[in-house]
Amino acid sequence: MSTVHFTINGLQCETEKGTSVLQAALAHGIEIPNLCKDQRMEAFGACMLCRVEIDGARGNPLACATPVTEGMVIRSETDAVNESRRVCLELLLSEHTGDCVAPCTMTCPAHIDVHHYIEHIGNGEYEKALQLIKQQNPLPSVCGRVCTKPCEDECRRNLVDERVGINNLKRFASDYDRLHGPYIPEISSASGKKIAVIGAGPSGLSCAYYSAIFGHKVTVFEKHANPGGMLRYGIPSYRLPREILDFEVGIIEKMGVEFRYGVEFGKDIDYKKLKAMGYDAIFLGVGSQKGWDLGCEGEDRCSRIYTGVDFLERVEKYNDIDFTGLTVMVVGAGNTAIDAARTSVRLGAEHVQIIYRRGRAEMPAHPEEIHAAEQEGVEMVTLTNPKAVAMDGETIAVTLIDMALGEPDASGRCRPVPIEGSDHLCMADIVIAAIGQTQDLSFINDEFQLKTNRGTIVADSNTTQTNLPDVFAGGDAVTGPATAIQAIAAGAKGARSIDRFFNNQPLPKAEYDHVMGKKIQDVSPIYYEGEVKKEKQRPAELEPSVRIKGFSEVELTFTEEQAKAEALRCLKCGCGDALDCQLRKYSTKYDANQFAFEGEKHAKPLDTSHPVFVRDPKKCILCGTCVRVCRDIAGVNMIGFLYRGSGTETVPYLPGMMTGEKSCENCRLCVEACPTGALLFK
Amino acid sequence: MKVIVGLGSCGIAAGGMKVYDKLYELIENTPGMEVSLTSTGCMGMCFAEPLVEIQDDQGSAVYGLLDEKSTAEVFQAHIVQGKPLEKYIVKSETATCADDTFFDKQVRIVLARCGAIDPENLEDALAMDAYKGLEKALTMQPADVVNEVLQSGLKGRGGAGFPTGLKWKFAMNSPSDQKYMICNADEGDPGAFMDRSVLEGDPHSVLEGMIIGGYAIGASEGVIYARAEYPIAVKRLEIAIHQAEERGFLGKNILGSGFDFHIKVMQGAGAFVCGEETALMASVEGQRGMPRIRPPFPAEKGLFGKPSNINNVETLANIGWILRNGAKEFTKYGTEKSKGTKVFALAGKIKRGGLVEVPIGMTIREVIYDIGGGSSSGKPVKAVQLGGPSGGCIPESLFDTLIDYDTLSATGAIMGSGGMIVMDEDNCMVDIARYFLDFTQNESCGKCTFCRVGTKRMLEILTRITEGKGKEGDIEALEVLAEQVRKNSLCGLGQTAPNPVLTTLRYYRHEYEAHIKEQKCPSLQCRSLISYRIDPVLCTGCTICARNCPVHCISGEVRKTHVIDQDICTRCGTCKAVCRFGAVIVE
Repeated sequence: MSTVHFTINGLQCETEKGTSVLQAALAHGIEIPNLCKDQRMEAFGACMLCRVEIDGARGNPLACATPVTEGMVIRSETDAVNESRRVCLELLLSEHTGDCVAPCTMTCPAHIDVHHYIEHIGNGEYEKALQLIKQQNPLPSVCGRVCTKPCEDECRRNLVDERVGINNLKRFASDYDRLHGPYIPEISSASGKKIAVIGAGPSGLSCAYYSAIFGHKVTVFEKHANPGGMLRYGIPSYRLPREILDFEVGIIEKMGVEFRYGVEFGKDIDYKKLKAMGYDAIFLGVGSQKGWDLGCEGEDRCSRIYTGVDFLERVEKYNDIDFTGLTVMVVGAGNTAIDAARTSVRLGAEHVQIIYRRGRAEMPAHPEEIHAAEQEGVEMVTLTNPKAVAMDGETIAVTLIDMALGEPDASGRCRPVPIEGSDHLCMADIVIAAIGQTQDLSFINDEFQLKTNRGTIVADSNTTQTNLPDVFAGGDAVTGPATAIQAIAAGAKGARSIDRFFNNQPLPKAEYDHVMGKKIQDVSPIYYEGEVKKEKQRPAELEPSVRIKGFSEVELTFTEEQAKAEALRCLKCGCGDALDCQLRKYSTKYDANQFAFEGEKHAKPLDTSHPVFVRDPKKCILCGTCVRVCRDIAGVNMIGFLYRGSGTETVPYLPGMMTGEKSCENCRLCVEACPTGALLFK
Repeated sequence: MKVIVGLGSCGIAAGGMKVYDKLYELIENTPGMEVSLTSTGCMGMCFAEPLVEIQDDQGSAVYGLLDEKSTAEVFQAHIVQGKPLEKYIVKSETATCADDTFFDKQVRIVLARCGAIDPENLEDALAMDAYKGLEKALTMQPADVVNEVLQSGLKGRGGAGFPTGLKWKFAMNSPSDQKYMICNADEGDPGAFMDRSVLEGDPHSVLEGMIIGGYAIGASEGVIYARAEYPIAVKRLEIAIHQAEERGFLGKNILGSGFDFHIKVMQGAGAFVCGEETALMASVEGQRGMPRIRPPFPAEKGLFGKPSNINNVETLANIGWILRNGAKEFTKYGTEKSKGTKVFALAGKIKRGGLVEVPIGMTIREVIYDIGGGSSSGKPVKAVQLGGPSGGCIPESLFDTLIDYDTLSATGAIMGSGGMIVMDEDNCMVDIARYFLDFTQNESCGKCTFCRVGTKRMLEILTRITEGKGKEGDIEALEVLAEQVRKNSLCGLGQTAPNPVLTTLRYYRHEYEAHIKEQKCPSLQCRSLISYRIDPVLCTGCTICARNCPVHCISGEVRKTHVIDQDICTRCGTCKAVCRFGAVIVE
């Protein structure tokens, strides 16, 4: 029992003779990474992660196996040591197949925990499902109707039969909550801070919701008479019923958020005024609400030509618009154009056309929307563009020109090229130009020098902070026209950022996320070959003939039966060890890159033969802990190494061993000892 | 008259058994022949196998490249009529031969008896001083024996080059009731056959070294771990052990000294990694051959947890000589830091490939040209690969480097176990690196991350490069991986696996760049980067190429120019080999 003195990273320490460098360092608060050293057993020397610099030693010894000696000088955090660790982790990651977090969550801009809320729905725990959703998205009933669902594009079920109806499930959970709850989150005690949110669109609403939970006092300033932004003034009510929108805004009001309508930032209030009113931070969620004009010759001499967003705003505000017998020409093929066309049908228009300069395949609107529009009688005219407009009495004479697809432009889509001499006339009573939107940032002046770039507000993508430290911005105003879920995600980010800003906290490091493939196209269907196909549930829909008579919702919510059946189709992609995995922890700490050393991975199938655990050799890092625990601690020796080289595997029940005296006693030690998700309880 | 046929494995492979059988038949059927017909191990002149040595009152004459027909001729001329038949003689005490210079600069300490004795005859070995070293050692104190070896400057001949005397000293100083003396006969380098020749040709030299070692360190048990792919060596060892036991060189109370020592032979099971000392010991213990963390070193905690000393075959074969002649004599050979001789297996594009033993300190140039006779292909020598998969390539410009542990490692290569492969311009250095890495990845035990995955990723990059799919950044990735694998692997396999890559990158980076940037293989070897074409001027339309093409991709009428279909051609090279007009061009 004697003491030895040593130095580690400049720190003078002492420890009991015989203690390993690894243990001694840990006792002094220095964690040397290791994946194959188990406290109960001797050092093994597999992972190679714990190598450190020791003065006078040959090479970099293994901390787990080197006893501290008197006067030893150790350096465990040098650049060279950290580089070796990173390469070591990257080599392990290059062999690793799995997703820490399911692809749906990874793809969702708000990172909703899809896998687990679907599991709750499957278990009949609808309230739990809703609460999980609301941790990341305060407007699930809205999104359940209008989201572009990028999550579903990456859903791995696509490799088995059809994608899981994630959005329909979200809608189900939130509609259930609306009828049986609603759930109001717990608010922290008042922080004494005040936040001004400009704009009651999705980004502002989201920022308000999460800021309120933190205990901050929030006031939302909205220029329109009603909340919602583009959700109300850009999306027709047959897609998003106003009661749904108002209900979810109502919850935010119940949480203590104040709404002030008819107040425009830059006119009625400004930054100086807000600061004088005692606001500690401002979130700008002012959106992209200015529609682009047609840009045609003769436009300024014509009437009854509207931008798409202006048109939809008017429809929202006024009840008396009647298009009976009229011919409507909508230019553009994004969601706004389709919305304008389908709204025109509902307003009684006799003939509604969509004029689009590229081809059918290039139309940016959601295919379901395009299909719904056609069902309702909208005519799609592609490879055509307006060249000039002129009044012919009350009607508008539109000169159209045919287009051909040329070379791809910067966005990757083929540039449309006019075909000379193909001019032809088309008459329309109403022309709606739905060809894009831009931001109105006229509130920027000498007294409020917010930095912009090409018409959008410049804000940090991780924190939403602008060049003015107490001003944050998110949504379309920063990105240009995008989706509701992106705006909601930005608002949530803004709220968390503002809270950290108030408490002087730094941005936490992003966790390492391993993926089976960058996109679903990179994932081999081999991994899902065993899955049984199950029919996808489809929600009921109103008949097109019924739909166009009014502005009722077209698509209905899942029934409970449908929801539970659809929930069972989820493949539960994320790794069950995501919160505990040591490989993930160190990959985060040492900034490992999964794609640094791409190469062959052995496509070994899942082994579900054991009654207690599932063995996934694709996640095994060959640390040998399971082998040693079974041999030395359990004393049963049921797991062994097989094969050589990169194909080495740890395999239980080697053939012939089961016929011996010993057999697996279900002691579970191997599963508990496994540092990754290679061994997980069933 | 003595007629001795070379029947080491290479002799047999070359057709030595047929020669032996022919001689046996001829001698049996000729009355009045007072001829003894025996066999011996490797004589070293592997380039001239099958070899037959005839010893009579004229002296010794060695015949080479014999077949049944020429054997009969030699029998008639020399054995029956006593007239040496010069045209088949490769080495002679009386006449000068073209290949005499093969032995001029060699110093045969380890190989002294190889090729000179019948390895299954103990008397032959005893007549050439076998076990005299043991007799001497048993009159000394163990510590003095260790000191003698230390003074000799002998370094481990397996490749690591650690001072043998020092290793023995550590084991000697580790107190224990049981110690082990282990011989590493797992010679795993592809193409290396130094240890095999010693084991097959003079097994008693190895046994003697082990017994002396056991006495010195205080071990009573010895294990020879021989690879199963050497069945003749295993057989000869077991015969030798039996003979030694009968004569009292092994067993209880050896030569009345009170020292007990037993040797057991254990066979490997086909794993290169089991040539690594701790993996070897795991294998002897019946476990999976995976290396262990060192320290503790085998001298402290080895086989079954007991102090053990493990030496290579060639190292042990030096011991008897050192004890018999004294350390000082040994130090007369070699350089200041590396004493003694080294056995090399000379192979590749060399005129006189075979087993040579030279004093350490000779230059590479001397070995390749003076002893080896230079290039066999007519094209100049480009480089030499030393040390097998753990070693490196040395370009011709550095051939004046002395062969010594320290000077060689300065070039990036290592002495290694003795494999020496000569290459000319037709060898693609990128492909050589790929070949060795393919071997080491296959043999990796899979325990440590850097070797298991690192060598695999390096191999993938190299394979892509040789297939014409190399890309920007590949060389840099190789360099990072090579450095990290070298620094961080658990054992020598992983630590040295990057050496072929590192040396070829150092001296032949332009070849890598040509593969990647220009999609060209300068040596015209990598199949994806070359094409075969028939020169219409030289082609005579003889149709030989078309008839021999294994994929029938050559078309053409008789006496008209033939054409190769590039889409089907597999670049096997058959057409070029059979064309008598040199009309097939590779580019």
